[in-house]
Amino acid sequence: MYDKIDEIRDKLKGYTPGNMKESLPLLDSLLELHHTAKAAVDIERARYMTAHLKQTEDQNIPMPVRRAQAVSSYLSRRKVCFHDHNMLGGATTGKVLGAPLYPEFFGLGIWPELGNISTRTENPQLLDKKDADILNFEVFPYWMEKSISEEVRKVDPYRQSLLEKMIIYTVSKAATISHTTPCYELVLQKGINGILEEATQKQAEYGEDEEKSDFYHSVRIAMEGILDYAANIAREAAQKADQETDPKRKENFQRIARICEKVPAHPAETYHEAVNALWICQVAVFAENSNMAINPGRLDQILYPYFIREYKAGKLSVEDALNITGCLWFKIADNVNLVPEAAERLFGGAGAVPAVTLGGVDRDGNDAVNELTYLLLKITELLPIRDPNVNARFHPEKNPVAYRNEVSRVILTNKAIPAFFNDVENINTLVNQGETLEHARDYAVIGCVELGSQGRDYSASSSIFMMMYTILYMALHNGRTKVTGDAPLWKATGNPEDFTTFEQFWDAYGEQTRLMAENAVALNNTYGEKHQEFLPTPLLSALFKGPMDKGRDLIRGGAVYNSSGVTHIGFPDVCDSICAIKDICFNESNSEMCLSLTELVRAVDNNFKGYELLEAYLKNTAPKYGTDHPVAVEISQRLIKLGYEVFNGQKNYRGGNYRVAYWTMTNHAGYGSVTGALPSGRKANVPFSSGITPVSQIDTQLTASLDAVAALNSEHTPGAYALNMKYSPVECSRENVDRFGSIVQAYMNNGGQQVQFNIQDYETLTEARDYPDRHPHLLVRVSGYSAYFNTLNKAMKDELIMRSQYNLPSGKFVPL
Amino acid sequence: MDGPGIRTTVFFKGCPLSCPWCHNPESQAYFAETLFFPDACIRCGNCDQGKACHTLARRIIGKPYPPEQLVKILLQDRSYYETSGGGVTFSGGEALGFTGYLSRVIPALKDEKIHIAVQTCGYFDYNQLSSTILPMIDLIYFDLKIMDDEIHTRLLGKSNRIILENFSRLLEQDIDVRPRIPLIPHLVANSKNLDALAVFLSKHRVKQCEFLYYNPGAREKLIRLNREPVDDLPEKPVPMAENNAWIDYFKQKIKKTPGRG
Amino acid sequence: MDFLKSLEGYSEKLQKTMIKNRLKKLKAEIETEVAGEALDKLLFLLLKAMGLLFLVDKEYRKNIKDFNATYVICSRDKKIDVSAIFKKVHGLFSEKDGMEVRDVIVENPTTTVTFRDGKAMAEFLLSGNPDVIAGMLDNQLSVSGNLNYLFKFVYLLWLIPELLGINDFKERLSHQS
Repeated sequence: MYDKIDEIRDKLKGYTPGNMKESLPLLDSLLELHHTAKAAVDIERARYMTAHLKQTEDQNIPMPVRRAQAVSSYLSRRKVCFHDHNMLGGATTGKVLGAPLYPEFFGLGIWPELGNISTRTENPQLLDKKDADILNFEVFPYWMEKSISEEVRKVDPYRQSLLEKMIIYTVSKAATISHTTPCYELVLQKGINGILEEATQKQAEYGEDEEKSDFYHSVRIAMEGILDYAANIAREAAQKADQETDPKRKENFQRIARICEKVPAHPAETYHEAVNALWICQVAVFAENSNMAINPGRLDQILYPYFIREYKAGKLSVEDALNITGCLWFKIADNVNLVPEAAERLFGGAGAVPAVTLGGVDRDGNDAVNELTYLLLKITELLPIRDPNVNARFHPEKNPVAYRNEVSRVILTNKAIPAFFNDVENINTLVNQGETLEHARDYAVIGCVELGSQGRDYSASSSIFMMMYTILYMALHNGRTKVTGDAPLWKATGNPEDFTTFEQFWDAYGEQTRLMAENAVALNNTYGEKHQEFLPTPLLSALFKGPMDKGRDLIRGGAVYNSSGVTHIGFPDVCDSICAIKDICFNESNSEMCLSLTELVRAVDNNFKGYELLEAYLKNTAPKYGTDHPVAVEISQRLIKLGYEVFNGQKNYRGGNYRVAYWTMTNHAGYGSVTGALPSGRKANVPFSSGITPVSQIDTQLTASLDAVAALNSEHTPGAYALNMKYSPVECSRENVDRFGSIVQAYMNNGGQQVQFNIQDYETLTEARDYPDRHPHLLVRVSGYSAYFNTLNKAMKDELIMRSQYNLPSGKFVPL
Repeated sequence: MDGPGIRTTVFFKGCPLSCPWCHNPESQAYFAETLFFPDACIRCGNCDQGKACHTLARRIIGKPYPPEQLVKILLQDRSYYETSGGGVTFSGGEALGFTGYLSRVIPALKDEKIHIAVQTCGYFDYNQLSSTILPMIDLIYFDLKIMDDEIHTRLLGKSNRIILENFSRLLEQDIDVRPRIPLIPHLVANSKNLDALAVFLSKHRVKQCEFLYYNPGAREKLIRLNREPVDDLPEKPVPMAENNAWIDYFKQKIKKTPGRG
Repeated sequence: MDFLKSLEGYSEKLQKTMIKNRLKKLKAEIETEVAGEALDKLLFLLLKAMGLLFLVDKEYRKNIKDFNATYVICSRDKKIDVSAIFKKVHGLFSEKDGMEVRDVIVENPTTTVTFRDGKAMAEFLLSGNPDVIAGMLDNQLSVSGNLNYLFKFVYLLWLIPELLGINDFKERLSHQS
């Protein structure tokens, strides 16, 4: 059916990273600009939104309408900028690389730094005095009692205070409404005008029902904001065109003006229109909701009809399509998160992680790898930039080996992206979560690694972070934590000397897991309720399947599916710790190392000082997840099952499930660097292992390591996980590419859900840490997304260096 | 080079030859040995008490695997063999010195349709091999080193007569046999020896040959095994240009040498 | 507020001069404290200066227009017990936005910050790299109450050294920790 694949692949072969200067000069120059752009705080949204909310404070306008007005006022009034010769109109902020400030979330966190955020050592974000004063005098004072965390504190100060301990659980609703994939197809097909008409009609129809009527009203206002914004772009571009003397640039402005006059108001017809319409909608979503993990989704599917129609008609060349797509990539990468310095240690270096998903099967279960899939892969190869986060779905039975190998080749070439996702396991786990088979097949990757039917599942997939280190600490210290005093936090579950069997200890661990889960869920649900009260999302809701039919906002359960996500930090280290406890405290047949749990805990709490033999045993002999040791296999699977069971019975504030996941962004390194030792033999202040990845530097083989992960029941990880593997750099030969792809496929056949790679060796990464100038744009996979190595904090750099490196041809572990 | 696709390689411990450049010197002796890494030693005293070392200081090389257990381990990676067209490679030491053991392993693997490769130094009992597992082997890498039997015997401890005979006899079988020449500076990679190798291979109408490069890493292993490294072998890898020059030399030679028709 | 009381009866101009002189003295005291080891008194001195600056520096005072809040800052070693109350205060002949410092803990504060000791306090509030999270995880500090108020407070504090003309304040302090 995709009859132009060979032809297009053949044409794509002519474009390589080495010849971009000649073959795609526009993209080459944009890449240069991207690399030199300095992040700057953008206050425009905060300013207009705040002004509008202040103005309407006492007017008794329903919140959905009032917030839509505020968003709309920003969209209508914001500056339109053209920073370069990108072929698309629209930008997330008014800065070349902007960090938008969301005062309703954590924006006020930069207050202490207003004077020096531009000059701080870690990832400075430029902010001039004038803007700083606006924040200080106009914006921030309004939000002091109103930012969402303070609203939550008013009703649940206790659980909010536990959140602020950072090391128990975190709830990202304090920072964001996001982590979902809108249905941009709707806009491409109907145009914003179509949605607006529908909203108008339905508002009239449901005039009696206040909630519905308010919702449709708010959608109308939001849609008008998008239309205003697009019209402003068109007008500004036309003006620029008039002033421009360079004929090529003039033409570019004229084209942008033409396109933005038409889309997203009307349905898109050409590839260029479709891409620009999609981008403007993405910008609009950021106007309403924070710039984290709002995902473009399955672009090779959404954009395919526009691409292939024009291509076949001879109106769009491969070069045109590469240029347009590349421009979209740079647009997607035009923003970063605002990060207060204090948070750098835990979160430093993150992009906004908008995920693009390629390949896999279509809604009917057939091979969906098409001509555009290969073109988007080519762009991914040519533009190794932080965002978008490109992910390749692979269905071992339906997708061709040629596709598998092309993805592998791109990874070996740019050394980091895309990540691989297994369609068989991922579709299965989503069906197990209640999605229909057809919807599950249409999943897109969210943010780092999470899964959700695109445009149908409002997944809030980063809702809760569980600190497994603290669960284990509580299980070993009678329910106490290091940060909440001498009394048990939730429940006294016994001191080490109280456990006479392993199962008694396990029960204590399970009980503390359950209690942490319940508290985190309660707090997350409170946040959700406060979002419903104060932060309705009519704009995002209109670009989604469900809300327009139900007459209900996304955050009130308007979507077809309404899940929330829970991820876990420290799984591999805690798993190894529990294995060690079983192996040396409750294993009479262990003649090499036998120790009471009390003694083990003492050694751990002393960071193994005076327990060197024990430490050596734990590191080198005790059972480890990532090997085929039966204890490790058993404990890893039980632990995953426990996490699933604890959350599976919980319901979120929208009536949806909690989907358990194991991805860690940079948190594992940050938290590891500030926590104590573990029974696994890990010493204090050492980064935890990332995501679901077996602990670094354990003695194992590539296949054993992959098998351990693949053996985990994917029904227990419906939010997916990040498995980070590192290969020594190898020649990108046909043989190596095939070997690479074969390994991935075997891992998937064994049940693996996700895997991503860094093709780096210890020496290069160490050099990049010690001499940042020698590797200015080094792109690495962190734990679910890509980052520039130089923007990461030290703990994260160390963790990346420390990761086990494998030799691809031999599968052997290369020790550090 | 262990064969096509993703493979598991089994290293046997024990070899009839004693090549001074052997890059797996820990696989030469027929018994378990200990590699010693003094930096990792914490002086816990476990070894004095005959207990296991849990640091990485004393690493024991050589572990007995009952055939059934080995088969089980090898089959764990079956999905990788299948997706890549890989399989299992038996190496060493000298794998074909253990035909009795292999007779209990290879048939079980063949039942599962696993591709089998062997790397050999050529010094083995041909009759024993051909009467047992030879038909189940898909691919043999056959190392050829020194053609002068006097030098061969002096340096490697055994005459090359059996090796060359075995090579000839294997070629008569329906098996993929690939000769390999390790380009050991001076000892193997010299014009006289390569000339002789070219003549020998041409005689058998073998025009394709693979090359291995000298690996100086063995020197460190010898020290850790408490053995003396050989003085006249270099401490650094041979520059690729030099290796390539010998390969070109050899290829020219073999092209010019008429095969016996 | 003995000092303010002592100003009563003088002309506004004279009062301003006396406050400025007082600020100069405070500057010297702060510099001495920063050069010392304990840093227990540093916060109290800075807050004193803050209160006076609000009286004489209109631009600085703009930061607390109609601002009402109470902060308690204390240390677990009991060496620091300070409250800062932002409210309309009487100074220089009129009611103005201002701040009153007390060396006791007042009740029902908006935000409370508890430090392990003076050093932990100095690191958190004033160093160039306040590692709040590490501090919290090491149990060096804990915060209760509205965080936004704390953010504002830290911002106000960070402005003081510059207003007093203390150069390289953060560098000096970071040499300490």
